[in-house]
Amino acid sequence: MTPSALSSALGRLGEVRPLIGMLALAQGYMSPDQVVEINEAQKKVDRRFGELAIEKGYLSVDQLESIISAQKNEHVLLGQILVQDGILSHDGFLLVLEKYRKSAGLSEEGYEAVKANDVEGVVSSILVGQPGAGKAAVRSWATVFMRSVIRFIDPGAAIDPLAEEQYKHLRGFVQRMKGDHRVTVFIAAEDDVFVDLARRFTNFEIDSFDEMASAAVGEFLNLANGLFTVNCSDEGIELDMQPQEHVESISSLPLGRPDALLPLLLPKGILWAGFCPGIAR
Amino acid sequence: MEKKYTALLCDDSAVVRKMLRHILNESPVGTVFEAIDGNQAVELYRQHRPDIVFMDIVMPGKTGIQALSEIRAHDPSARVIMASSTGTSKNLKSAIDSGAVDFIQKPFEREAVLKLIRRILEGEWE
Repeated sequence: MTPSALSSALGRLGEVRPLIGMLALAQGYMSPDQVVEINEAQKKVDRRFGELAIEKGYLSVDQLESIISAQKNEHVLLGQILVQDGILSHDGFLLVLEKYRKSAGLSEEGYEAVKANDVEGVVSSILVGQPGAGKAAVRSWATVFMRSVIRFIDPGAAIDPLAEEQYKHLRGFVQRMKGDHRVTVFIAAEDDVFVDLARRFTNFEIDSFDEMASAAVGEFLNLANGLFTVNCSDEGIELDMQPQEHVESISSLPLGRPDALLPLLLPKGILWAGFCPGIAR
Repeated sequence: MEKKYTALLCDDSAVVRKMLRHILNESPVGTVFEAIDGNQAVELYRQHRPDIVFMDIVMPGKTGIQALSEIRAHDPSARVIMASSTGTSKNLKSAIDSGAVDFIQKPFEREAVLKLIRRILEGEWE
């Protein structure tokens, strides 16, 4: 595929509607041959894809309903455009999608830990009573953040629901995001926690809170937020991340009550992570 | 392995540059230049014309996309790989439209980076 073909496809993401066949393929409900067969059949009879696929026994009613109610997925939409443009075959789309999922998931210890933990359940329980508990974006950020901690820092990381909410005097890192929404995300911790986090994230010898430790912690925050923006983009919400900043004390930021506040228990203590609406200057 | 290539790493994070440098140690890249922002990257590119560039997108001041455009205006054959933790479709489109040869998402995976270098510098495909 040429760069211009990809750029053209990316530019049309907002204009296309997802096709049932491509979604069924992406979900693993139908094979490429079955999708092509139904597409061919549609050229001869004026009937909907879903009806024909159910009639043939390729899709169940439940599967069709789950496809229809599924949220917009940019990866599938992009694949759909490339198939329609004749750049990818249905088989090729499936191959690329599997490769993408594998690379996005990584088959490492951390990923196994993520799979083993009910991260969404744990996150939902800690968000109960917090201002952002009912907001999908807040739940999504909290889940991605905790998964990132488990995957890149400590497979044994957990939420400490009994942690005393005292983080404002602590050193912190903050990152603002603008675009379809305005959001400020911060992390705060004692230096020991940050040094340990930096060491685990980089595998470098880091013994004190120096420039390298600061760069490592900032980069970890950037990485977790980057994964969150990818999820948002996948659902049609664009957020631009601003460079992350280090502050000696979280209290120096005009933050209101966070929509979500996660007390994450790491080997050296609590790492606080907060998601606040608006841009804190 | 003959260390015959030069690379420019542009990222405002010292730790990212160090991590990437570690990976490049295992590649045919022998000389590595480092830039901490887009301005420095453009300047270092003009001076050394490295064989390959790894460019972060989100940086204070000049963004990676702006630096990419300036480098490509100076040298249309420049081989610049955009590297970011945010692989949104918008970023990807901007990178391609500005002339990036590829896009790699952070965190860097050793094998993926080495494979990319082999493909771009030596024309080796999987």
